[in-house]
Amino acid sequence: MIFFHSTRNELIKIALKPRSYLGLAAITGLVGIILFALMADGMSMISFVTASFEQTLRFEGKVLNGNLVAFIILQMLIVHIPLLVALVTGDLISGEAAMGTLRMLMTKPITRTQLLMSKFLAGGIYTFLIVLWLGFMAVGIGRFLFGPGDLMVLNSDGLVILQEGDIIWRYMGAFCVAFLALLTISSLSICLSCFSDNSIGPIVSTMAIILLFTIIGTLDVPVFDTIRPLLFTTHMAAWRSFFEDPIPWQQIKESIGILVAHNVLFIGVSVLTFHRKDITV
Amino acid sequence: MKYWLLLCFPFFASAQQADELFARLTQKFKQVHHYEVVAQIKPNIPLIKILPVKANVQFTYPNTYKIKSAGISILPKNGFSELPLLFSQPNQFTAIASGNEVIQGVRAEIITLLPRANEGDLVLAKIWVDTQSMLILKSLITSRSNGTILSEFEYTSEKAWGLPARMKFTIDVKKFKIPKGVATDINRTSRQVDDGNSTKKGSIEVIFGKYRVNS
Repeated sequence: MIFFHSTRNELIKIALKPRSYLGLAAITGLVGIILFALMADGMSMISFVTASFEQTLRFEGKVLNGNLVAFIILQMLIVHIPLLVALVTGDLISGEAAMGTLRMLMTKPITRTQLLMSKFLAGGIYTFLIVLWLGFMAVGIGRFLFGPGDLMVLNSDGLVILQEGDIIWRYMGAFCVAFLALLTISSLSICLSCFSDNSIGPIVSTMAIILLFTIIGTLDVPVFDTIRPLLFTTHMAAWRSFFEDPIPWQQIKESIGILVAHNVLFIGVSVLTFHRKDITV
Repeated sequence: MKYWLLLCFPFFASAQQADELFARLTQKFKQVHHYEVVAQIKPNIPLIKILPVKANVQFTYPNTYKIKSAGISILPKNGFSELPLLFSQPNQFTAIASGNEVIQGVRAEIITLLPRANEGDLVLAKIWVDTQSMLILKSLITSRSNGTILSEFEYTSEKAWGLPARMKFTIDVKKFKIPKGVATDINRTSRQVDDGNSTKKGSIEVIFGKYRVNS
């Protein structure tokens, strides 16, 4: 019971921090700009992608529709969302340590593990709300403004055109995997937060790790071939696999496995570190 | 002089024969002023994955096509409207007989159509004609903007109007290129090797049904 009270308190603390709304505001603003740009000149962007095909073929039907708009938004924003998540979750322990409230909190009848887990759960709920808001803005508003239609996805193997009735469940699957990927960021930032006594350190460190791993993942150099599949950043784009035909289920399962393993690792390291942490201030 | 005329005689005869055949085809084509048909479009193109799509096709003489599909459908850029264009402007082309060939068990006469003006988009058209039923069995159309497209035709109930029950377009896929920056696949953990044996031809099959002609 005390665990749920603690989680509720953590959620209240997140809700009272102005920076928690920064993520939601940033998503709203960014999606608004992308929607405006696509409404104004979306077809020219699409023709850039399909130009090579349109020399010989012509596409009939509504290519620029809500489903495509949502996909473009996700592809553009999913890279930036980790920063918005880390901005809040990276502060959950180190922020309290910096303010001195962590020492007071530990005087309550709650174990360190329970307190830490309640922070992880609160961070997870915040991450879920971010993903939900992104989904509403991208798919909900996108479909409202542009209408439904078949989804044309370009990947390295070519064009995949998915029929309208076959799309919504793919988005739901994609958002679940995207949530798991962002949860990994949340876990990483909370883990780093256990090592620090200031707010900025874990946030910047999280972003630095994401940047480093992403660069290693995208460098087409054979020396990184063995470690690339083990990096969580490689699997953060696994949501995209839901828009392939046929869906590479094995690849998705592997990505989910790697992301869950990272979450377990980060939570484990956090529990060990937090247990040994000397809370002096 | 008379020997030269004798040598050229087969050519004049074949040109006259081809012109006659082309004129007869044009007459047949003019019978159809308008039609509506339900089409099922089945693309089979190596770099594109798409399920068959149903569409409603409307044709109005001479070469106006309106295609309405519930979702996204793919059609060749060239091939649908170019053939009617040939028959709607017969004076702008020179017909040359180019031999014969057996297609679908039918002996077809080959006519090559050359544009009289140089500045047009259409460079060359070759059509295979079943002279018994005056039907086009195959066409090969080359244009400046879209390259060459091979079309094959099959007929059933609307044979009398010269309207096909099935059309198959063969297109060249070599020109397709995926923009690299747009299609970065972060999940990819191995490099793709082009073995040089990848398919270079694609096809689009269109099956027509429920024709409503001139109504």
